[in-house]
Amino acid sequence: MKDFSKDKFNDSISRKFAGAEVQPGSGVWEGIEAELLKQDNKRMQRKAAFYRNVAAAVIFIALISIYFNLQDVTFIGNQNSTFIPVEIEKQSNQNYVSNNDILLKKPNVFADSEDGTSNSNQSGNGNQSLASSYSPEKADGESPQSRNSADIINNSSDRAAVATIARAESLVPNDFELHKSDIKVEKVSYFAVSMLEKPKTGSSIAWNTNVNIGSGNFNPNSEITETPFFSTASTLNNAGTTARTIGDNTSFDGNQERTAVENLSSAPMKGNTSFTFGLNFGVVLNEKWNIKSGLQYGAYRSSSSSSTVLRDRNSDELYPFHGASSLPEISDGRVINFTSEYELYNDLQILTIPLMASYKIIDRKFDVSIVAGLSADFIIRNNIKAGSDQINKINFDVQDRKSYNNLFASSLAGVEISYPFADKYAISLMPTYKRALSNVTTDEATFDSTPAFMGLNMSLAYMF
Amino acid sequence: MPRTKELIKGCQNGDRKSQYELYQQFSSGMMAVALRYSKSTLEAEDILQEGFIKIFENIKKFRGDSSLGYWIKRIIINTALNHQRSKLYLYPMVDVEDIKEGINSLSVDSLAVEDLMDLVQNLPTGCQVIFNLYAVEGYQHKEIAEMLEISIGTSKSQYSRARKILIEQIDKQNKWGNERFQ
Repeated sequence: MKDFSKDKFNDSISRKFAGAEVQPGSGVWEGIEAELLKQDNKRMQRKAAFYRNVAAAVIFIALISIYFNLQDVTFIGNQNSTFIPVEIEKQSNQNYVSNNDILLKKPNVFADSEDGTSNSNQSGNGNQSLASSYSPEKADGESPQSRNSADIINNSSDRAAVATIARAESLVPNDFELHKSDIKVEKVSYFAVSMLEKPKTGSSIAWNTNVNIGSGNFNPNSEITETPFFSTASTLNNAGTTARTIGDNTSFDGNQERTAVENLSSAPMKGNTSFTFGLNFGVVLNEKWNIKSGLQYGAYRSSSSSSTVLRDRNSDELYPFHGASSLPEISDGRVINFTSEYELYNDLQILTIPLMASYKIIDRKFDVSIVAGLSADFIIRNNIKAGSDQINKINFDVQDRKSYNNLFASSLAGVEISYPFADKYAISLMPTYKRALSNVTTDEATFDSTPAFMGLNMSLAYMF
Repeated sequence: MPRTKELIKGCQNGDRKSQYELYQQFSSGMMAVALRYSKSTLEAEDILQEGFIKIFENIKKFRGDSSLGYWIKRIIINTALNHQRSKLYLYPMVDVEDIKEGINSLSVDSLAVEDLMDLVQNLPTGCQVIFNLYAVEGYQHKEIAEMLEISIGTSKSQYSRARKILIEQIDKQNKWGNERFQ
């Protein structure tokens, strides 16, 4: 650094400017804030994208699992498992042999055997008996049993069956006696085993606890009404201290207001991370059908950009102009002002009582069910705030009836992929789409709103 | 000091209130700095806005090695230099002879800060930047040369040129003031 003491000119200039202060215009902070909001928004979008990607990855993995689950549902030794019925003369029982040489049912074909003893009385199983009896290669009189068999087999289909059985014979050594307890399955599908192990609940009552996470998209401005304002309700005023006003208070121009509302209505909504959790009780009607209900708490968050505020003419306070701004709210000494663009956050807290029916379409290691239902939703709180300190927050509680209905109905649909384990437990993943059937806002609100929510639910279930 | 720490922490967490408070605390001083490096209030406000956005973006990196005010000032000056850098190339700087004229410091002291600001703002862009960096911020010519990617000689000559213009202007103003007073 330079030695200032040696240069009086520089020293005096430096001293002069040292404590200098000049007040910048108010537009500077607005510009900074707008830029910071943009950056916050980008950050939130990145976060939302991250959660969406995680959800997509989970769904993808689940689908891949289901695909492979369905690919491998049979016994390995029983591929191409079409069964050929073998009808044998004077035989009351039908014997089934799979075309890959595995005998499935013990035949009763030796009632007329030479020694007159029934095959059922022989030791060993029918596989061995059949294998030794049906042997076309040996049907040249070498064996009485073979001859007997040759007599019995008198048509081409039977011959085909016998040929198949002969192949079975070649697989089983003659001196190998198979007892029922000795049968070993060479290789069995993993999923098939899980099916055997899976507890069959039958008709019983089950309950589960759900912890749900999801990336939601709530749009409070989904449908604009035909006449959002009455002319007496609002007129645009002079420029406020912070806000810019388009038009003046002497000439009412409904078009400007309409444009403001339409701008807000068409502003792109950004879904933020919403979450729900709750407890459900279910009744298992049968192996396919399940009905459940419970209580769910959900915090749904969305944001959008707005360039309109409500300004209180007396206090000069600013409030966000939101989708459900009601006529009393607007006419109560407040007027609409246009401002620089700001972020509008909507935090809805909803208590839901759902009634859902699920139908199991795949019953493997992973169960897949289609779920549909209805729900009664109670709005317990809604906070609307702007991403600017100059604009006040609005809180709607359960008592507020100006803008929001306390109760609305929704429909929901989803696909539940569950994995049962440890006999009594199951974890499941359920992508869900939920949409309001009735209007969330009151008749006095400037918009009708039927919000939608897309979520991914994870739950842990315990079955009684 | 604990309040400043709280403010910094709030800004680091992206708290809008803390950001606004920090802006309120430093904006006036930094506006004066920005004005010295610009030609108009509008341009200074642009520099201030851009500078504060950078400050809020980078405040997580602030570790308290220097004072917060000094750190903020450095960012504002760098932003101003970036603003002026293109103009520096538009007006190529030519070496001028070193000017040795002296001036009584009392002549400067008698000037109002606004008048002095006007004089500095009216300097040619290259001279203005180098004069500010050398005479007011206290950088050495070597440092200025590195910052602006010019030769040390250019830095020295431009400073001399600025100083000559300023002395002439201050003299003029003083004479005009004295005549008016008489």
